Formats: sequence, C-alpha cells, structure tokens
Amino acid sequence: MSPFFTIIIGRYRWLSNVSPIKLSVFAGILVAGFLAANDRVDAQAWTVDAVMEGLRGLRHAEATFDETRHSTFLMTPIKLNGTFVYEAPQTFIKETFKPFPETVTVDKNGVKIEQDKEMQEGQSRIQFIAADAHPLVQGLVDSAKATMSGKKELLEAHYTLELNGSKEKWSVKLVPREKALRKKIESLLFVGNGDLINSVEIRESDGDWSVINLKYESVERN
Amino acid sequence: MSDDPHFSRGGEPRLARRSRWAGSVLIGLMARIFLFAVLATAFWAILTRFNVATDLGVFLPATKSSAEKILIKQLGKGATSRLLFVALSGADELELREKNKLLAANLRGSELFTRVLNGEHDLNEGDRDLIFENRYLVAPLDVAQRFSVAGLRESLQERLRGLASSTALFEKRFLTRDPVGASKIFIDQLLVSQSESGPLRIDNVWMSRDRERSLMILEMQSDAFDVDGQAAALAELEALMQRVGGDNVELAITGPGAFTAEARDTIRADVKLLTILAVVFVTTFLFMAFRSLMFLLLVTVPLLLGVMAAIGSVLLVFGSIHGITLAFGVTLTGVAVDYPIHLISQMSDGDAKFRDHIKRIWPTLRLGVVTTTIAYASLIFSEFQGLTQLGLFTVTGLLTAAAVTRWLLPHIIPKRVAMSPGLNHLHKFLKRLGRQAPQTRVWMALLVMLASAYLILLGHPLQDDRLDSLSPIPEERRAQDKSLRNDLGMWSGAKLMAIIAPDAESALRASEDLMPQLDDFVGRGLLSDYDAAAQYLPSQRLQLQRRALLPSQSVLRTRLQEALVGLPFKSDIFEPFISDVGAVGDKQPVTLETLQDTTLVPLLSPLLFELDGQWVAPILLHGVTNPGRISALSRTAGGVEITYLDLKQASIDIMQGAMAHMGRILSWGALFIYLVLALNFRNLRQPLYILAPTIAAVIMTTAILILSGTQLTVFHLVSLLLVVGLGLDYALFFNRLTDSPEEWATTFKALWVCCVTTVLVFAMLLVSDTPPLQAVGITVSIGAGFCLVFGAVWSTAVTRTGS
Repeated sequence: MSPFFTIIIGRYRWLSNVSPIKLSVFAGILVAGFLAANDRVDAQAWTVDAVMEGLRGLRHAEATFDETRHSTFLMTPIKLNGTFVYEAPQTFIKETFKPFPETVTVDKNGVKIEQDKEMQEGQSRIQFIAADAHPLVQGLVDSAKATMSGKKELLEAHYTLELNGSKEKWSVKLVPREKALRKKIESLLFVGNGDLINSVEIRESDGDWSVINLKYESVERN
Repeated sequence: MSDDPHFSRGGEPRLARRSRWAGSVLIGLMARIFLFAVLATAFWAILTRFNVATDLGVFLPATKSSAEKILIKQLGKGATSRLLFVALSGADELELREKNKLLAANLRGSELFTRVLNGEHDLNEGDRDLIFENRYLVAPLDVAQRFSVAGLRESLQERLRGLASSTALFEKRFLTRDPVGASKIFIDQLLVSQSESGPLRIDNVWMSRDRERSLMILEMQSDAFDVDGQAAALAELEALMQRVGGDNVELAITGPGAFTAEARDTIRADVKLLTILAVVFVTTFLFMAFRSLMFLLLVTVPLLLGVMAAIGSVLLVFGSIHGITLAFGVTLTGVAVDYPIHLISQMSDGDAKFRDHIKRIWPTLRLGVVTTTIAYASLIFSEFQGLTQLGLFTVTGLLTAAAVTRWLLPHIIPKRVAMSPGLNHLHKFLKRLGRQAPQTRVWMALLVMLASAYLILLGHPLQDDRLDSLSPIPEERRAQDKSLRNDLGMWSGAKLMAIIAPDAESALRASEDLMPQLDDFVGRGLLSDYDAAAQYLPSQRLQLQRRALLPSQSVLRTRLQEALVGLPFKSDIFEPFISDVGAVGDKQPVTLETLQDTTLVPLLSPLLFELDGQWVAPILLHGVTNPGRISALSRTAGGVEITYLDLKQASIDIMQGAMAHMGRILSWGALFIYLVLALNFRNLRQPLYILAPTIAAVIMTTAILILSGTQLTVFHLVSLLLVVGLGLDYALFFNRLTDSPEEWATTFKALWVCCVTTVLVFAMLLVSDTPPLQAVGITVSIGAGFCLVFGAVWSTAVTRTGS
C-alpha cells in the first residue's frame, strides 16, 4: 500500500487533524504548479515527460490565489484568498489571508500548518510533521522532489495522468488510482495557459468541489 | 589479673564447674532427645514442604499506611508486574522498525502475552465507534453551555473555520452528526495525554527520541507470583526474536516482568556458585591448616545439621523459605564451622578424650553461642519479613550447630583424629603478632576513637534510603530500565494522589471532585499537569448529569435555528445531530465493562484498578512545585481515602523507619548481651573486654565502608550484626584463661583459622552480581578481620600468659 493512503490517526493530535487525503490533494496542487511552470518545450512535443523535463528550470515563483469552495453543507460557497510561493528546490508556501489566516509550508523537512491561535478548542495550532516521522509526509515531500527531478513513474504510480490541449491552452487531469482515495477524491484538474497555470479544480466524491485561480506576480527561471 | 577469682583453670567460669555430675547427665540426655526431635522435625518439614519463594515483597518492610501498603503491593501484583519493556537496536532504522513489526505480529499470536503495544495500534475503528456512540456522555463538555444558543453558535463558527482550512476533509467527517465536536475533544484529550513525553511514532512504530531503538511494551499472561510462567514468556520472546531473524538486531528486555525471573535466576546461580566456591576454598584451606580429612568431615557436621534444622524451622513457621533467606542464612550460619574447629583443633596430645575436652571448652563456646544468638535474634523483630525469616534461620541454625557440637560430635568422633599442624610459618608469624598485639592497645584505641569521631561528625551514617537498594537487580540493569522507560514516556515522577475507595464508581467520583482543585493548581502553576482515570472514564454520576442536561430534540432544533442565523450552513443538514442527541436519553453510562477489550484499557488500567477488594485510582501528578498545598487535599470521608503520596519520600521514610527500628533493637540486644556476660562472669568489668573489641570492629568496619563511598543498606546492617557475632566469639576465646603459652598458641590458631575461613566465605560473595550479597560480602570480610585484630589487642589472656 502506498504511504499516501495509509490512514493513521496517530498518537499526536496534529496527525489526527491533518487528513492524508487533504495532503494528497495538496501534493496534486503542487505538482500542477510544476507542470505549469514550463515554457522551454515546444508545442509539438507537448507531453507530460516534456513538462517534467522543463520543471528543473524553475527557481522561484510567486502568485496570489483566490479559491472558491462549494460544499453540500453550505448555502453559499466559502471564498478564500492568499499567496502561493515556490522556492527551488522543494519549498512551497501557501498562505491564506481570508476568511481565516493559515499558512501551510512544505519543504524537505516536512509539513508545517500554522493556524490562528485564538481558536476555541485548541491551545496551539502550529502543527509540524517531520518528513521522515510520517510516511505520508515523506511521500508528499518525495513526490515533490521526484517531480522536480523528472521522475514521472512516481506520480503515475498514484495517479493516471491525462494531458489535453496545446501549449497555449492545456489541461492535466489527475485521477487517483487507489480505491480508498477515489472514495474521497474524484479528480484534480489543472488548467494552464502557456507556461502558467490558471486554475486548479478539485472534485470530491461527495459532490463538494473547489476552484483555485492563480495569478503570477513573479517567476524566476535558471 | 591472674588471680581473678572469677576465672579458674581451663578458662571455665565457676558457674560451669559447680554443675553436678548427675545434673549434667540429665541435661545432656534431655538435650540429646530434644536435638533429635528438632532434627527429625526439620527433616520431615524439608521432605514434605520444601518450597523456595523468590518474590521480593518479603524484603520490603511492612508498612502501616494503607495507601503505602497498596503501592508496595503493586510492586508484586497487578498489571505493572507483568510489563516488559523491549527495545531493538543496533541496526538501521528501517530494519529496526520492520523487525519490530514482525516480532509484534508473532507475539500477538502467542498465548503467553496478553498485550503487545508497539505503536501499531492506537484507537482502532471499533474504539472510535464506541467513543463516537457515547460522545455526549464521556466528552468533557460543559453540556449546559455547549448546547445553549450561544454555545451552539460558537461551535458552528468553529466548524465553518474548519471547512475553510487545509484540514477541511477531516472536519466534514463528523460535521452533521457532531457539530459541537464532542468526539474530537475527547479523542484529542486522549491522544495528547499520551504524546507529551511519549516515544516518536515513525511509520506506525514507536522509536526512541534519538531514533536508535524501536520500542515495544508487552504485558505477560503470568504475574509476579508465577515466576515460571514469566520465565517461559521471556524464553518465548527470545525464541520469536530468533525466528524473525534478529541476528544483527540487539534485543533489550527490561521491566518488572523481566526482573522477577532474572532475580530468581541470579539468586539461584549465586547460591549454586557460592556454595561450590565456599566448599572448595574452605576445605582446601582447612586441609592446609590441619592436614586431616577426618577433621574436615567432622567440622562440617554441625553446620550441615544446623542448616537443616534452620530450613525446617523457617518452612514450619512461614510455609516457604525465601531464596535470599536461604543464601544469607547458610552464609551467616557458617560461623558455626568455628565451633567444631575450636573443639577439635584445641585438643592437645595428652587430651585425647573429647568428652573431657568438650567439657573444658564448652562454657566459653556456650557463652559465644548465647551472645551471638542474642545478636542474631534481633533480626526476628525486624519489620522486613525476609529478615525475620533470616533471624529465625540463623538462631535455629546456630543453636542446633552448637548442640550438635556439644552433644553429638563427641560420640561420632574417633578416639584420635590424625592431625598434623600445617601452615606453620604463617602460624608462627601470626603468633608473634598476636603476642605483641596488646602493646598496641593505646594506639588502636586512638584509631577507634578517631573512627568514632568521624562517624559522629558525619551526623548519621550515609544510608541508602531507596527501596531500590533492596533490589537484587544490578545497578546497570536498573539504569537500562530507566532509560527505556524514559524513551517510552512512562510516568516516572514519584508524586501522586492515591484515591482508595470501596468501588470504582466512588473512586471516580472522588477523582472528579478533586479535579477542579487540581485544575486551579495547574492554572496557578503549583503543578504542571495530571493524569486521572476520570478524564477518560467519567463517573456514572457525571455521565447521568450530562445526559439530564441535554436538550430535547425539539428544543435543540429551535436553538440550532437561532444559532444558524447569519451562518452559511444549510439548516436541515444537522438532523442526524438532533436525532443522535435525542437517542442519548436511552443510553446507559459507560463503565469499565463497556470498555473491556478496547485499546483504552492499557491507558486506564494503571489509573483505576482493583486490589484486595478495594478500588484504587491514583492521580499521577506532573511537575509538582508546591507539595504542601497539594497534600492539603488529602482527606478521608465516607469510606474514600485520598492521600497525597510522594513515593520517593515515602520509600525513604519506610527505609529510615525500618533502620531506626533495627537500631533500637540492636541497642537492646547489646545491653542484653552485656547483662548475660556480666551474670556469667559475676563481674561488671570483664564483659567490657569482650564487648570492646566487638564494638571497635563494628565502628571501624562502618567507618571504612563509608570512607570508601558505600551507601549503607539494610543488608550492611545485617552484616554488621554478623560482625558482632564473630567479635563476641573471638573475644571470648581470646579471653579464655590459659596457663601455658602452648595452650594460648593452640587457641590462637583456632581463632585465626576461624577468621580466615570466614573471610574466605564472605569475600566470595563479592563475585556475585547481586548488590545485597556484595554488601554482605564486603562488610563481613572487613569486619571479621577487625574482630581478630581487636580480639588480640584486647586479649587479657595474652597479657597473663605472656608475662
């Protein structure tokens, strides 16, 4: 069984709060980020291999995002906004400003989630999972690293990848292979324009879905 | 001095000479009949009920406070005595975890282990369902507040926040059935309580913080009273480790369960080894000294019969004999070897008839036996059952050995024992020293006074107060155990509130009543945290209170509608919540029985357990900064006893109490010995010549032990008692009146041979790994040497014959 889907509700409260599925989704989003950040391969050879080959050139990327979460529990969707930062080789920071401040950092050490401390039920909401302390997090960090170094097999082990369109208007659809995850996540759809990603759409199996739109502010390449 | 009227030819006090022939025959006859009866009974007892106990409880002092008693008993009984802590080390991390999982899987298949914890299980699905089912009974919610309109609105806002976070998927799982988050609060509390100082959990396996070891906690089927069962479980564990291919992985096993079996094996091995060594060394030495095989055989007869009677007596009184009693008892009774040595070796060529000789030497021997017996008898009054056994053992052993020497040996002894003096050069050298010894009396006295001053200035002897010090487990293993416990995050503090109640419910109620005060203390920094059973299993009273406070379905629906105003939640999605709350009304409170077979048991069982028909709920206290304030919570009311316990302090108190008690008994013993001697000599001054070298030897031995950095334990005190016995014996013989230098020389040889024998036997204890045996070995070896030296120094006989 893939470490991604080993469901552990651990000894540690932060493990019980971070759902593995959520992290998988997050990993998918990160991967999409890499896929988007490529402009070195010409349109005729537009393949996933080519996309991943080009990823190594990315050094730094900053974007603002706004997200809309539709839930069957809610009459109106939740709107979120914030920033997204990538730093070579494998640091990703997603900072949400509204409606509630939260920062998620993934780097080679692991995953850190910081939430507003003035919450009702918890004392401290800074949660850190060391990469090698948890197979799930290890898997996340590993796949980010694998993507950066062009190892497509690792991604394909967990998702079927479907590339459509051209360089100017493309989409990559990730469908989980594992049954357990498919029960939660239907698909992840990344839509790009040129070398930049425009949006990520996450469809959950219970009918909930969300769309993240990205606007790049700065992109540095080697 | 030579015309002292109280001494007569041959060193016999007048008292003995006066006894009439007829009377002595009658006494002798009765003594023989009695001796045979004793030996026969002992023999029968050994044949029918020989049974060696190995639990360490009997070497713990009996205590008065019931809380303390319960905790001491906990050492022997209960779940804790069945625990094993296991660590795998010596390979790379991945392999350590893999082997750990394999081993755990194998152990779970074994009937010898009731619980295998290695981080692979925490709450399983069944446990989570059980908690979820009963969430509104068990979760620490302020029900009235949380189910008010304001409380519900707060919870809903919290849920909305969750949906907007990166952990939204988790939030959704219980949103519609438990928007107040009761199950989350309960589980968080449960998991946090274990995580604070616990081991790392990597890839579902517990690892030490330095990640050098993978860890496991095992609970064996057998408790401490079934040592064979525990040994079998340990053997199984090692066999399974072999099977999973642990060649390159080191397996460390500690914990109470491991130690019980180990202690038994150590004690058994020690007894065996020491017996063999003692026999080899002592026989070799005695043969060298007297060059006679017959002599050797005869010397062992009183000791063997004495030990037999001693074992029989302990079996008859206590039902079983403890391994440590047996080991110590045999060594302490070893003094009895001296008796036949005195008897036989002092026989001169013209003194062929033993019956005459024994009559000459008997009064001194008898005095030695009586005084030593008094010293040993004080053990009987000890608060340690093990020492009481030891007291009975040694007293019976000594008296029997002496009686055998007096009434049996002369009958079986051949007319002449072919002996030729051996070790002549050594004897000549020692004799010269011995003759000159009294001249150093002033200097020796000065030395002893210096040592006394040192001890007095020290205030009190450095006692090792820890109950640990009684443990036969080597220091190194105890350190290993401590580090493993640390890795596993076992509660290692020594402070707790012990709640003892007639039933589990009352114990939980008392616990709950205490918790607001403890919370207040935590808030004010008097303690950092605590663990109580009531946190995980509320009393039925509290659960029923919560149940009663829950709103009805219609009231809840109305309140929810009101709370939802302005929030984006669809109003009808909380129907499952409303019906769940409605269903709580039919639920019975959760009890220990409900939780049986759940993974909550290992968490709860140390915090709530039954012992001797009573229920004990210890509240473990962490980071206590103000013990005074907390101990003020102690009280007894309505059959429920709440006691603040500092286990470390309690064990120190217990040990100090027991030592003070022994000190008092010894003082009385000394006075009694003096009176017996004074009565015998009809003289108040003569006993001082007997007591002075004895007391000097004790003082010097103690001073040397303390100077060498030894912490005195009960076992050192016991050994000093043996030094007293030896000192009395030597001093009495040193003070026998002898009218020729030749006879003095014979007596002196017997004495130094006795002393060397003793030192040989006890120095051998030093090869043992068992701390108590080492303590006895070092103390007696040093003490016996001093007894000989001081006996010679304060010898009045040498003063008389040497002039």
